[in-house]
Amino acid sequence: MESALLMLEGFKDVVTLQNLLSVFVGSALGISIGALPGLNASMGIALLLPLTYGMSALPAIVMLLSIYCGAIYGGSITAILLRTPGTTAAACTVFDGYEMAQNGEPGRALSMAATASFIGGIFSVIVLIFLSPPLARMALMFGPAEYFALCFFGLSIISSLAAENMVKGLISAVIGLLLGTAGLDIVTGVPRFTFDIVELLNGISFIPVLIGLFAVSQIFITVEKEIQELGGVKQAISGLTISLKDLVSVTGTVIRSSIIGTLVGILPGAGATMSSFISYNEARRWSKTPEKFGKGCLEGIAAPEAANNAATGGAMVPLLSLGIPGSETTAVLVGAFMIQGLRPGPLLFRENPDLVYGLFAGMVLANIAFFVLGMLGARLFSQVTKIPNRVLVPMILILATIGSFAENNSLSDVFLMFSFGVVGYFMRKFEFPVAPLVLALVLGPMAESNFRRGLIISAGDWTTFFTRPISLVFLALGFATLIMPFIRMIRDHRKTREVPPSE
Amino acid sequence: MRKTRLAAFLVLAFFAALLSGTEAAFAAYPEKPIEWVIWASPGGGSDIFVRNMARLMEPYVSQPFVPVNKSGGGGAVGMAYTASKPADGHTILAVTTNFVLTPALGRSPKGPADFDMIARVAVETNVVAVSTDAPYKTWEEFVAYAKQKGGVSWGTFGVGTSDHVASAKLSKLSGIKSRFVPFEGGADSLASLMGGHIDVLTNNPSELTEQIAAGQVRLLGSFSADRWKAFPDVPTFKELGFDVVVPTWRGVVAPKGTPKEALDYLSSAIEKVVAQEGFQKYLAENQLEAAYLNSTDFALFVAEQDLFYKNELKELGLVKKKK
Repeated sequence: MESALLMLEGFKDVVTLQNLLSVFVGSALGISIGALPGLNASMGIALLLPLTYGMSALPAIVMLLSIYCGAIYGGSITAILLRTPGTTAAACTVFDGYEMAQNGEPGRALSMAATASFIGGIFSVIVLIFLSPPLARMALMFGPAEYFALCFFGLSIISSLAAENMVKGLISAVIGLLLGTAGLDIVTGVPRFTFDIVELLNGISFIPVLIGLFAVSQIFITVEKEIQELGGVKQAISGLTISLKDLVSVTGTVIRSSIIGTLVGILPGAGATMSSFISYNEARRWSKTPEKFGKGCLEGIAAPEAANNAATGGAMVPLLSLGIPGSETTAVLVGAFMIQGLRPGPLLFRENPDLVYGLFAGMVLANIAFFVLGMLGARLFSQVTKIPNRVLVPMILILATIGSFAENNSLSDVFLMFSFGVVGYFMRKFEFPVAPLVLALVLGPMAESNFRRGLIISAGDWTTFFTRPISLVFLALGFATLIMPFIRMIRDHRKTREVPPSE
Repeated sequence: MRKTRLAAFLVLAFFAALLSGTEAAFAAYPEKPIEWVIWASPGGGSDIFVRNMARLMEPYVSQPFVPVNKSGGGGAVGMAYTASKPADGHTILAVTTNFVLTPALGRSPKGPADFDMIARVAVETNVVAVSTDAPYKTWEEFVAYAKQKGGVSWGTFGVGTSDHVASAKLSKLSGIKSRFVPFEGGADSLASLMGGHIDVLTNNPSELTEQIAAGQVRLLGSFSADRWKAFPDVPTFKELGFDVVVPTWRGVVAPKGTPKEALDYLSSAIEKVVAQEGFQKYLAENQLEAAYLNSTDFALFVAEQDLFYKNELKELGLVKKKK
């Protein structure tokens, strides 16, 4: 009750012309930053931080939070329209978003993404406001062993991502895991697979690989079709927005994904990308029509988008109640707080409660702002799919190149992007699923380092992963997910045997 | 008609550019914007440090600074990039203790020998922290606990970092068996400490101030030479009877062969900024202490630090002894 009253006070503080302006400017900037491949939320906040030097604390932080929320949503726009995930958190949105746009319904896909992001975001802010302290304590229960188990569960999703062709899917996953081992070994400091190339010491950069596999490979395929004169004819655009019926059909998925997104977002280090993959998988598992996933279904867009935006509120939980920045973006936000002479953490609640509640209210407004901008923009952005390929392809290529270069200001990342464009092209030609590689590359290094940390802490006793309850639960979930496809296979096999041959 | 006029204009512009170019070559340093290389990604502590300094230095330098992020490999990428640039004072690099550590570990093709020093800006420290929920309140109690338990898990930032060197030396001198748990970032290790997954950690105090103030984390000691100004109650390990002073610092360097006047020009600008009240306040907030050294003194300091860390790494068995 007390929080509700403070919340009302917060809204009173936030609803000033200057704050509303910062929210909308922040959201618009955030959406653009998120949509541009290679520029992500943390870089956006870092680059725009100087803009807030002259502002007072509340509008400054509210603007940066708007950039954060907007950027996580914005990543879906290019994922849907161009097969180029603007942020890593939007990688999962490509699978169904791009397909739906290609089927002539870009507006429906875009407005689904905006709506799911909005609901996920708002849900997480509500959790942030009312449940922060207990959830923060829950987050602290996650040590290296628990993180390893969570990563293992995340990796087990590969088996369902690869369900159509298990062997090819597993090959793709193993390639991803191997790529993830490049760089300095975290425990011994030995360089692995770096071939004396300084740029490889930090491992293989994820963004260029992602852009290469998704966007560049698509460019090759589009160009190939143009040459063979198969392309050229663009689908007429229909389905400009989602209907109420659409919305009702994804309600369960959105709620489930919002919960997953918020919870995973709270865990320092896990974040938006992992939550979107887990939600996508859960959505498919619970769906009545799992076979439609990957072919442009609404649930496939709603799940990752609700989850990655729900991770924004989640990430603020450890930041505000423990003073621990759980992600790269919240680490940059600490810098923003400090410029204002504030330190996020438990003391902030005690010393500046009005600021904290103003900030909560600002986050609610930020979610509303990107939703409004996203829904208004959906119609406009949809026109991108009408652009002829001879114009669109060079544009995507330029965006992809800049995006790959931008993350580390590194030309070697651009080469990496093109190499993975070629890899992605052949993977698609030979029908190797790309998703397992991406997931393995994200989670592999995290699983490895936490596995080794867990073993160091337990002094080499491997039972630590099974005796700790949270760890055991996730490992069990992981094994269950792993054997699921096989059980299904056996069941299907039995069914076909039971049906007598009709001929 | 229009085309020829455009062509004529372009030719003219070209010559004008050429002329201004030759003129500038004789002009005083700096003749163009100075590229300031940061070996960390945007938004981190090192990045904000440089961007802040660049802003404050602008009144004293006739050209603007252009911060450029070249992150990776514990500074190796930034060093390789900067060393490949012309040594004319228009490319400089912000460095930390990794400037000597990364090359000493054999992880960087470029090292201090490839650079000229401009100035040291500030010194930092590493501190040993435990959770306030833990049964031990002082270093002595911690040592007793560790010995009774037969070993402790100790959070650091990887192998051969300044915090690892300091912690390993300290635990060796105290006779503790420590299992060092390498973390990728301060947040991860702090969460593990507060959750009771590790027993102790070493970090820069700037990432702990909030938790110290809130009474969640307690400092047992500091690796600095003197007590750290922000925590006058926390003893140094030297005071406690362990000869472990492991300094960490920040400075600015330029590619080898940069003209002396350019080095001195930038060095004196840095000296003015370091003396400013605003900058001192920023340093204090980030648990840094102003410690300016000019070009010559910084070069001596780096040489001494290089030797110090090489020896420590050898003692710890982290670098192979030369045959």
